Amino acid sequence: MKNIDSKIHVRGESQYVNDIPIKEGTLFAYVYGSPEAHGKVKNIDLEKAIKSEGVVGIFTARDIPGQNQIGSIIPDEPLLADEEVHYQGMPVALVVAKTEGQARRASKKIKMDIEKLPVVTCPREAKKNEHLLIPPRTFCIGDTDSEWKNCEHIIEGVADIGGQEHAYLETHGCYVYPMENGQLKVYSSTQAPSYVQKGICKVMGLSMNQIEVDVTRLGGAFGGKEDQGTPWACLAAMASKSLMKPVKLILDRADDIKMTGKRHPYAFDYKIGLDKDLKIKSWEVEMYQDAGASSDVSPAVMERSLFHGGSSYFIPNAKITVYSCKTNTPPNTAFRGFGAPQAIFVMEAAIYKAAEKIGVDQSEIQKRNLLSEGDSFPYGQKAERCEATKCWELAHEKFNIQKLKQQVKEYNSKNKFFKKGLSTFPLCFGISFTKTSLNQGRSLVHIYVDGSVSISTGVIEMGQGVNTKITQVASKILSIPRERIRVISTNTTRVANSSPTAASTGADLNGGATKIACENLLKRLLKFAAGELSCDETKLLLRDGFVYIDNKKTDLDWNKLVFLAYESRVCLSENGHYATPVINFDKSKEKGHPFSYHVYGTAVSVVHLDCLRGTYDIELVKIVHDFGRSMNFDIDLGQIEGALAMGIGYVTIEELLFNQDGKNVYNNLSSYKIPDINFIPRELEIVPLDTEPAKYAILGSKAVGEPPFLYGMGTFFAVLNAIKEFNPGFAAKFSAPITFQKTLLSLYEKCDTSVKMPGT
Amino acid sequence: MINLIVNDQIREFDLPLGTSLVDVIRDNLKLPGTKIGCREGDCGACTVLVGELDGENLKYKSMASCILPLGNTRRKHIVTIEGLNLDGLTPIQKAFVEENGTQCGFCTPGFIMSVVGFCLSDKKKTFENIKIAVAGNICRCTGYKSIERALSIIVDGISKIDETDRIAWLADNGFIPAYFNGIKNKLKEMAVDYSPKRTDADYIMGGGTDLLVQELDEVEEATIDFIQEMPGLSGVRIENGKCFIGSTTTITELFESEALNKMFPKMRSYINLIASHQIRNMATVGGNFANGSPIGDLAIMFQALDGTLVLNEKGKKREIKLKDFFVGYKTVNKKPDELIECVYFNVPGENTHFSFEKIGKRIHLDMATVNSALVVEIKDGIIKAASYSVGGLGATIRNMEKTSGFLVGKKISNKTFIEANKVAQSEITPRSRPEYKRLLVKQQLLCHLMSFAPEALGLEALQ
Repeated sequence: MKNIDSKIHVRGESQYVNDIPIKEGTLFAYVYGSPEAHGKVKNIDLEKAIKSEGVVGIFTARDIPGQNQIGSIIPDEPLLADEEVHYQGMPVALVVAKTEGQARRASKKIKMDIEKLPVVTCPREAKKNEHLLIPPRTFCIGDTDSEWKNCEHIIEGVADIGGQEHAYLETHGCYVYPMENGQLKVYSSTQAPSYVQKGICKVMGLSMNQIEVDVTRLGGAFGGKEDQGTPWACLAAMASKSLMKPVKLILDRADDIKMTGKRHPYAFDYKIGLDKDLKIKSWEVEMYQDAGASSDVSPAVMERSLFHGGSSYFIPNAKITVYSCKTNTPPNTAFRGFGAPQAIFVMEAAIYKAAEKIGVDQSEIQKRNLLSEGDSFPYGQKAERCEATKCWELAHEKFNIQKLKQQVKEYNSKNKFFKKGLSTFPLCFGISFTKTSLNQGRSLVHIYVDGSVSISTGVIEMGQGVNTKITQVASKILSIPRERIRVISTNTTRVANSSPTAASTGADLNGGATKIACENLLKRLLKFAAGELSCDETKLLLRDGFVYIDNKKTDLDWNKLVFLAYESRVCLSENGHYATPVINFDKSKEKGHPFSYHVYGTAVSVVHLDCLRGTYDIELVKIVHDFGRSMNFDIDLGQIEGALAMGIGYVTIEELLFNQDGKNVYNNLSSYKIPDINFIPRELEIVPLDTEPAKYAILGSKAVGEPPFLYGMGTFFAVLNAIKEFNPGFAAKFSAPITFQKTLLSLYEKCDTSVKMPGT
Repeated sequence: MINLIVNDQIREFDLPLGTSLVDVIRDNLKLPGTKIGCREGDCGACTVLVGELDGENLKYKSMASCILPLGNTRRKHIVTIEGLNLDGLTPIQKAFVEENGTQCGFCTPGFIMSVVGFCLSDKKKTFENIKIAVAGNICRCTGYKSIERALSIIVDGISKIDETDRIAWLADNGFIPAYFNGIKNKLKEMAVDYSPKRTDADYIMGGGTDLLVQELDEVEEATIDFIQEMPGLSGVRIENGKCFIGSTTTITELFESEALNKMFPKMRSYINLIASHQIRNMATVGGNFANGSPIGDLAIMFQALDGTLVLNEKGKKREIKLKDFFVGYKTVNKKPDELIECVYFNVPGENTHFSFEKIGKRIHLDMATVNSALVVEIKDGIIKAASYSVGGLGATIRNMEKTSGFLVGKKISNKTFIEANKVAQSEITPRSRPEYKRLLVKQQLLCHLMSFAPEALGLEALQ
């Protein structure tokens, strides 16, 4: 089934926040952000701005009626800077004017007097200064200290991985208008309407039943609109309520990049120990998470880094620690993968370095340490229905990786200035919110008297096709055509207290709730039909829109059944509630069963490197992926292809850089480059692992949003391998992304003869 | 007052002519299908088609409406996604749906517009060409593979297009609405007497692709002379051994110029490294110079070709070498009232070779970190003349006089390269990322020389 939105997408008829027809008298808001990254606010001069043409009002921290606080996990983030500023672009004032241009022009006339304070943009430095947002956390299994003596090879090193701009095509936006009785209607580009609702209440001193948040769809989000939709909605709400006018606030691209947080950069110190059979015996890693200026969801991101500290390997003795470091950059936030990619990167870097030192192919170490059935993760959960080895073996068989390696070798021996590099990458990713309480979803299903069905859930459609999957669930349970079912906008008055659409759980939680609601409705309708047809309920079923008795079609069709049920005062609405079973986690012991299941896979990547120019392209990526049993291959394939491209960008060309003043240097799409159509694998093959439907996934179809993002990681190591082919002596540095700059410098780096090469 | 056709309607606007077209479309006409993604031409979400009479022909080009000033749309046909919709899906839309080429949908209208622009163009209907047509459209969701699959279906679907009357064929086959057939006559009827003249306006504007990014607020409130339709400023012509390129010639017109590509056989591959299809359709040669950027791709090329600019201050003409034109960072030797008329250079002889290199953060649609051009005349294996310019090293494009001088009289060899590089390194002082930029200069110099004499150079050059 194709994405139900695609027909209106291609006609340009899909509505995003900025496309909602505006009401008469709508005002436009523009956010003024701090020009400095750290300092004390001495004065904010609004005089010229207020007099600027078209300006209706300017709001600062002093105008906030409730609490000046939007931190969702830890209350450490003001909505508007008051006494101090902590990053460049930190919102300071909101200018409201009759047009967008007037608001923008007026904001340029605001002047700030700031007493500068030292700027820190490096997490290691923040750690050294003890600028931590929360105490560090450590996951332990076994005893690393006593295991080192049993290790044949011990390798220590450092690594770092940069941040990533979400670069959703639709920037943040919000449209708010006042209703009667002090209520507000809020259209927001958020992944978390309930967070927006709560945030507005806190800032405005209102109660949640006064705020209605409505979201039709987002033009991409990827985590960037999970926590960070809130400030813009709060600001627009404040202006709207104060001025009693509709207010629209759409961030332009430069402000969106400047003011919103990104994927967390991490730095690492690691130590890995292997025995003579290349089994990883001991693993210690300290991760320095660059959280930015306030905590946002960093504590949760930290948690997922801990959970993925062993990647897809069984490690009997491990000690994994994460420090959440405060820096003067925008508060870093959720982003597809949510802390797992960073943790997995350092593990792969350690394996690469170990392989280099021992003189074996890194895939040899990967293979020998893959998780097996029943192996414990460092957090105590055991690997169940573990597909790691099956994916690895199928990839090797299906893609003939041995032959690919041979071809790469031959190519390299024949070409002086062009080299190829190959790498393999095994994936294991845990599904569920690591915060157990978030693993709940609701769905409100109405059957109207004409037989059509409308569904409202807590999930946000942002391109991932979740509403299509929900339609499929309802259609399957109710046995009616998909055309009769409509998933409508996500609205806090229809579904309350929803979890953000995140952690790849949208379809499982909200599809699960929809399934329950539809099953209850079906039960009720069949019970009613049994009375109408005077037969036993157990003999009835609904198929293709008709009631069957003992597998024989009756002339009672869906429309008639619904109508008669209504006439007999049967309830045709149902609110389904789903809570993921089996999961738990005890934070005091850092042990438990936090994930309902894991997703596995294996990727092989080949890159083609121009050694004269230091540029490369991606020749192929081939993937075996564990879908469980995909309920919609069109959509799931799209998720893998898209996540892969984004994952490739993350470790290759997407470079985020803050200078010493805390300025984001690559602050628009002309300087921050994401993959274009020419920078994707020329050849891409995705093979589903033949496996059973997954027990706790919706209709057996495993979550697919985040896991395949990790497959991009292989590109990094393939580039390293290609560089080595040209410059065998270069000391591999594990600093992602491996930009064209780093690549060229590595190609011509002077040889370090102390490094042992494979086969020498 | 300005009149144009938007989709099937003739429209008149009394708005500042520097207004960005996307705002006119979305705010004034309430057509929200055209999206705003970046307002600097780097994402393609705002792509529209611009149809223009060229003699008897109606030619369409895709453009980024966010950096297209209203003033450049006079008597043109603007097509937005709403202007393409039929009752059912067109084959192009259907292909995107069938191949799952849309996820969040925000970039999709822009892709569809670029594809329709390609179908309407005289480009050969190959997969490679259709890919070039959408290379300025960024998608963050799909990873492009599904889009590629859709493109390949579309290319097959138009393989039988009647190239003598594409509009009629596409309308007959349901790719575009039938009203397209009547646009040519409507435009002709609108073509009343309008002759743009130089005034005392605040701005002189060519394609607008830079000014609408850099100075959007200022431009919207300013008076502007739009020069694109001024006579005599466009096109490539050869006269008396000189090649003249008018300042309003677009990069696409350079791409299409037979004369230019005959002189420089690799020019098309170089031009594909500049901006994107939409921007190439708008951006002008003169604009690339007036901008004064130290990494202007065309400025680098024409400086190496020892180009001369002809400037015109209301009838008062003067000439200046490009290398003297750039005086500081984004500062040029030009009075505000002076209009760049054209650039000219000597038509290269048969022994002259031209090479251009550009490396940025991404291969396509990116600004250069370092870009360079080398022009050499080689006779009997010996370099007789050389001209070398490098961008990205400081405030202005570097004219590498010493290196050029050193190369003269040399035979291309590993040794020549090694020594030439030493000279090159001595005459540059990169301000940022010096280690990388120095290495780029070295590597690009090697690539240039290899393009002239591939056999003469080997790994030894890099020892």
